Amino acid sequence: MGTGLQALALAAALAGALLVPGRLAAVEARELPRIAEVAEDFARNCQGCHRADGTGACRTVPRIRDFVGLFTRIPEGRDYLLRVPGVVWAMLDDARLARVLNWMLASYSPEQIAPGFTPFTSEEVRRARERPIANVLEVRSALIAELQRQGLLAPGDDGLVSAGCG
Amino acid sequence: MGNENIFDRLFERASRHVAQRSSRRSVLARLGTLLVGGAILPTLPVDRSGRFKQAHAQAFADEAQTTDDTQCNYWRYCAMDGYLCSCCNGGITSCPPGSEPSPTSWVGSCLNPDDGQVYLIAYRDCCGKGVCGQCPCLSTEGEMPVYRPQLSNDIAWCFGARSMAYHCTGAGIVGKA
Repeated sequence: MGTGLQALALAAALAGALLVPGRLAAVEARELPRIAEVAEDFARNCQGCHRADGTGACRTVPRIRDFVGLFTRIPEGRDYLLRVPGVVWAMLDDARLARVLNWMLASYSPEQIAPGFTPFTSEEVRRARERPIANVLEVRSALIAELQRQGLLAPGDDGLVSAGCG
Repeated sequence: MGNENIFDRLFERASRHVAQRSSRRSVLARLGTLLVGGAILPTLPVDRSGRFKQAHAQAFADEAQTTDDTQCNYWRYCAMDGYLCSCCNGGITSCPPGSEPSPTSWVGSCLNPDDGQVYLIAYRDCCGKGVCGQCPCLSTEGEMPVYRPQLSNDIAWCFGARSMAYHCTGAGIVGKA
């Protein structure tokens, strides 16, 4: 009887905790991932468009998943990653920008990274930021053509075709 | 001439009425309130165009509540600019029938007054349908001018959606900051 009442009281307390909306928010919060440091820099500055899963948006935002590392395979590609407008004008200092770029490559496209790739440094980022790409579409399409010519990228795939294209 | 007399008489009557019913002190006190109030009002964090431009995370959270997501002061709306999907037959993370979620969103952060934690929030527009028009909200926590489009909420975030027609905006939690 006593245990029955205790169980009932416990159940009522639990139900109460879940029914109070503030408590519910707290319960929800405990299950949420903590996004800190480099992941937070990525979340705040990159993933709104490239998306948390790196798939981008059809014909609008290039995917980074299983793709962005390809740019490290050609010399101009490394330069491109540092001088593309979204990178150059990110609201991060050079050190944090270098860190988020290295993290992005390792997290989203490790298979494509060139063997012997040396991580970006803040000094390299600083120098590249002084020379943003003027015509990003022109430069990008030349790089895509080169990746396709080398057989690193399938013909017809320019990184802008994603699952969202339906 | 007759009309002027009517106005004169009306004003005279009104003045006598005020003079008989109010003391000089109370008039001075009210005038003082008006003057001081008028001086303080412009220093309050209210933008001339009606925006809360100066609002800080804490300031928004101080006034925020965590129970009703159809109100502009719901905690996740600290950087909301648009119509609440919760008021448009949708939800805070679901688009109303006939509209589709944009694949892109902009990521800001809000303080939850219940647990004092900062959460990353994705402001995601529902697109492909005419403007909903219900529950317009405008708060600007962490927002940047439109020349920083990644962090601007003044623009329709329907990039990548099949239609750029803006319907309403939701606010999903990305994670704890």
